[in-house]
Amino acid sequence: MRMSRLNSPLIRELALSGRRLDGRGPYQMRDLSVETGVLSKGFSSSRVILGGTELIVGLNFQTSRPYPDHPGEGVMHTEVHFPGRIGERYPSERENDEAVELSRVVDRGVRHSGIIDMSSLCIIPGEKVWALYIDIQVIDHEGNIQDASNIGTVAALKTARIEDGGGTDGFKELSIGDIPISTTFAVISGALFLDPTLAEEQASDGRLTLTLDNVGSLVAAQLSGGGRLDRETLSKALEISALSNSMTRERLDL
Amino acid sequence: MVGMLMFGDERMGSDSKGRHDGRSNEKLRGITIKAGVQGSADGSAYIEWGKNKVMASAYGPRAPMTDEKYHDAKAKVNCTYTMAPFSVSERKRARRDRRSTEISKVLSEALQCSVRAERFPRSVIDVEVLVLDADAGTRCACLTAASVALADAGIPLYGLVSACSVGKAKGELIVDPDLEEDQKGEADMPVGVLSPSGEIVLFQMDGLMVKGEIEEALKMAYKACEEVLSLQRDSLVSRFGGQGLSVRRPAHRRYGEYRSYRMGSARVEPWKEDDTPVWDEDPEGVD
Amino acid sequence: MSGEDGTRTTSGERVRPLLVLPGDRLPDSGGKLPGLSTYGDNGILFSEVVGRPRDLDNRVSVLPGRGIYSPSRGEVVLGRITDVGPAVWSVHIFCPNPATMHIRDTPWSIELGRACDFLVPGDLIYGRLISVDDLGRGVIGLKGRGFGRLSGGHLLKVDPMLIPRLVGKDGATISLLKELTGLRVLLGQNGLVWVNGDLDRTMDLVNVISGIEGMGLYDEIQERITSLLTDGRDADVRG
Repeated sequence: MRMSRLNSPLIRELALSGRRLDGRGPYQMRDLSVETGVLSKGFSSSRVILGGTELIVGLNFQTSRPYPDHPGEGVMHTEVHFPGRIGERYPSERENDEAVELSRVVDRGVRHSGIIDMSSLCIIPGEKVWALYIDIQVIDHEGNIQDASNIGTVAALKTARIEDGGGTDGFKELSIGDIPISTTFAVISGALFLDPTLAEEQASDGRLTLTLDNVGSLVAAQLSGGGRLDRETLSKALEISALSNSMTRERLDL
Repeated sequence: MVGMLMFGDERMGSDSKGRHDGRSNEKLRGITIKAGVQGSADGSAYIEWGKNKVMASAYGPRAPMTDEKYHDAKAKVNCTYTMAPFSVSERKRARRDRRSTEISKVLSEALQCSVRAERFPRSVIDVEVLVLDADAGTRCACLTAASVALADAGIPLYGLVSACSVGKAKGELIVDPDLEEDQKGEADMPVGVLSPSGEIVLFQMDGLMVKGEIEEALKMAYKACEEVLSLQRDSLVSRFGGQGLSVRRPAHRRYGEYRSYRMGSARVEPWKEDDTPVWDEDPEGVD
Repeated sequence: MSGEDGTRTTSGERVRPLLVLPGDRLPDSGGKLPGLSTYGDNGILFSEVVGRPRDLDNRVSVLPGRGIYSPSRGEVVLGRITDVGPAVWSVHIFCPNPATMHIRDTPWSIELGRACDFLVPGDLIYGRLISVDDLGRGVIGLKGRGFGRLSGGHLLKVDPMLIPRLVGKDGATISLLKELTGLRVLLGQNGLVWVNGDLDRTMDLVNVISGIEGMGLYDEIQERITSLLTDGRDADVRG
């Protein structure tokens, strides 16, 4: 039985007592699987399956001019690509907005965690730098593209290789710093539910994503989908995400 | 796609396994097809064809949107061909380019021939084919997978469409050219065949083929499509549970445990077949 | 049960029937008429879908593995009002074709222009298809016992092929479900299930339905339902 918007009233009613359709606890994550090196074209890649959500992340480096206000730093582009049609949704203004928002949140998490030292991507200051392209292709959307994208990006970055010097044959590993992990909640009937399914996202009043680094500093945050939060709920979310993140880090050996 | 005629030092006899990957002229690359793999689609199929990786999804039939075109007397099939940015060596910037538009059109038309469209007048059937990894012959892989996806969705069909390309390299006809063979070859002819009628529903040719070659190439294409058809059939039989009739099982995958991979090594690990999650292939309740 | 679906030999053993794929030629029909999910002529019939060939009402048919609802006159459906005009409502019955309902086909006497006093967009109805035109557009009526507007409860969407199995022989299965859960349950032939009652029991029913979705045709569905509902929540919900 595929769950959809039809089940929103049921999901909301269950949420009043902290219950979910799939029987998970409110702060329980779905099964997660991550593989790296899944593409043949020389991109660093990862494939993430989080519950029913599946996506592939491909990364590569191309040379580029730096931004004028950051002449000594590399450049980064993150993009989430949705298939043309997901269930009953259509490529529309709103869907593009969602893809853009997701991309930017992943981007901020990566940028501000310091996972990559952007100045290490500089080749010739002011003229030539490495541009990192992160492409996240959604294959199956069953909720929480945000966290799946984040995990996939981190996994692909960890196996990324960059040319040693501007265009020689040698490759070296990218130097990796603090790793950002994001935790996304759906706000349903005023309560938080971690790692929402698509039906839960559709039934929710909004979503909250919190991205933390190794030491628990907040490197990105986003409230989306029209949700409203009171301060207590936000504090609670911060607490839970710290715990959830460390579990994810342990499991994925990050 | 079509390069110059190559007169290399390597000469191949017509029976020799002279292709760079060791295949004979009639041999297809390795193909695996799995039906019913995507939870959010009504019907789906995933195909690995050589290094090609394609995901096909089918939706519908559904009522058309107010600004959409439809036929009064039958369903309309809309197929969209998209390549992921990392599917080709040079990162693909524009998702919809002219080539994708053309391929979308020929695939839509081919699939339209296979659908019993009068059963759902004024409705729309959407098919999406997403190329995750491309290594020549993507449109044939897409058409093959899309046909399985339609059958998986329970959409009434005349039959399945099987497709394969025949190319010409160094003057010899070869079945299923890969990227290198396609780039260096003199012609490429993708053919899509509808069963059981045997009608051709996809037919294109890029390059130069003389009269005698076309007949021969078609013969080779038909033979290859037969092989492809049997793989398509197997994927549907597995999906619908072998001998027990089941109402379509939800396309839900189970993962036994968390997988953790050591990340940070310099080597890129190849994707090993036995590392992939297991599809729920054991039908429940069937003896 | 034996002989009905051609699956038992004379000695009563089960014989596995064929699975056919789209384009497969069906076993000789012996001049029988074409039925569900088949096409062809001159006595040669092919399957349109993946499914099982069956003898239904003396016609050669294929029972699809995956059902897309095609409205048929006389069928009972659950629908949702999507629009209202002076005399007609638009009803979504979860199939590719739109359906409508006229004020004269309801148990209430409604003046022209006052349809919205009775049913508005979002309302759920339980009714019967009075007619279906060539384009598959259905006309629904609410006259009849048990039909009308449904309030409260929850709606579930399942494959239409599952509905006859949920009904069971002479309604035995649905009676069992209602008895064991204490819920009000209504089934629409368009693949919809309406449930009203205790939330916990509703969850149990959701689990049960998910649990039987993958069962084979010859399995004892009632046994499975009973064990799922009395053993507790051991089935995991897929979805």
